[in-house]
Amino acid sequence: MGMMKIPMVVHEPDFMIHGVLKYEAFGQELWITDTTVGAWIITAVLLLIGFIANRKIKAAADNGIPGAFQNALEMGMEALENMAQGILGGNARKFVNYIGTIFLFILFCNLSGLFGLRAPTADFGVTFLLGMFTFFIVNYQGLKNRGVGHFTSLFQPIPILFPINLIGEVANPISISLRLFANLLSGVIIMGLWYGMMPWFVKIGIPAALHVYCDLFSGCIQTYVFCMLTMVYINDKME
Amino acid sequence: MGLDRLIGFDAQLLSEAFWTAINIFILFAGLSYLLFNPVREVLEKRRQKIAGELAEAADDKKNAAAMKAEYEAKLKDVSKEADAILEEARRKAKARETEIVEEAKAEAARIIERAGREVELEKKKALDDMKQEIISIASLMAGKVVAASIDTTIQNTLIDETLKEMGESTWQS
Repeated sequence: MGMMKIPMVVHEPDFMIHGVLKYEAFGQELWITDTTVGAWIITAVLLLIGFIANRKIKAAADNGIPGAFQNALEMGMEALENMAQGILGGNARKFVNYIGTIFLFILFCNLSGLFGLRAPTADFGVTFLLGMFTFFIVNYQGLKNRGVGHFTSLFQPIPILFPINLIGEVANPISISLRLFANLLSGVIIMGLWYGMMPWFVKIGIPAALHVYCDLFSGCIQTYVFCMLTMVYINDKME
Repeated sequence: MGLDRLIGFDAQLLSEAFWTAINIFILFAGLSYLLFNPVREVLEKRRQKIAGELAEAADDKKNAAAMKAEYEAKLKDVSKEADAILEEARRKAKARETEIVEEAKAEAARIIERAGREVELEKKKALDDMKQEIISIASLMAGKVVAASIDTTIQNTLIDETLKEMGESTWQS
């Protein structure tokens, strides 16, 4: 009795980072990868949006009538400032630009999967750097506001807790970078497996729902979580 | 052979981080200059403008309330003043009324007195006229009687008697 064969595998699932251009630095063979190119594209898009926004703001300043685009910008800026003030209080103003920058960068990176790019935030090289920025900002604020107390606080409340406190400090940037990376990577893997291994008829419609969760929902949530945690860590060192 | 990997803790990771750092620096500078600072400036200007307008509105409201209170006080005073003026006018009118009535009474009294005097004079004049008439008539009658019935001696005697009977006071009154 013959069975009808359905082609189960169209092509191999692909969720890896690929090298695009090889170069050498410090005696090492390194690659410009598709995630680096994706990040450049996203940077260019964000700068273009910034440029257009700047033109619109200047035009509105001349005729005194803000348009819909400027209203949206102002609403977004106020939401960002409110979010920062909710955690950092009076210190929010100093960090709004940085938080806004990483917020937009991470958000656009997370959503880039919807436009066929491999999300740059699903590359640990990107999220590790973001985590390290948070680490450096947090410790800079700690040194600035507490001085030597920034180090002696590691021995509080009793000196024997120093190793745990030290791990706690070092774990922060690693945890937030791994959280972002792993969440996005899981989405990339799920989508890669689905597109690579499922029969053709389940690739119609169903991936849209997966994209909504893996790219849109998870992407927005993780962006918010990363920025919130960065601000919480900074705020801890402001007191 | 190209690069094909998921994660790795090596120089490639640092290379990725390096390029990302450049991206972030460019984005931070670019977005701060193009987007965040201008939008914040616009919002701050608007906030200040609204705060200024609210303060101005509050000042205007305060001034309006003060002016209202002032005008109400003035209106109250005007009412009092009007009452006082009316009262004064009534008082003056009353005084004038009394004065006019008094003057009228005095005038009436004067008129009555004058009229009384005139009446007395007319009466006296009428009496005098009557006396003159009576004397004339009596003289006439006496003349006729004497001429008709008595002689000159009797006539003179009668005239003298008559004149005596009438007396001097009769002619003087």
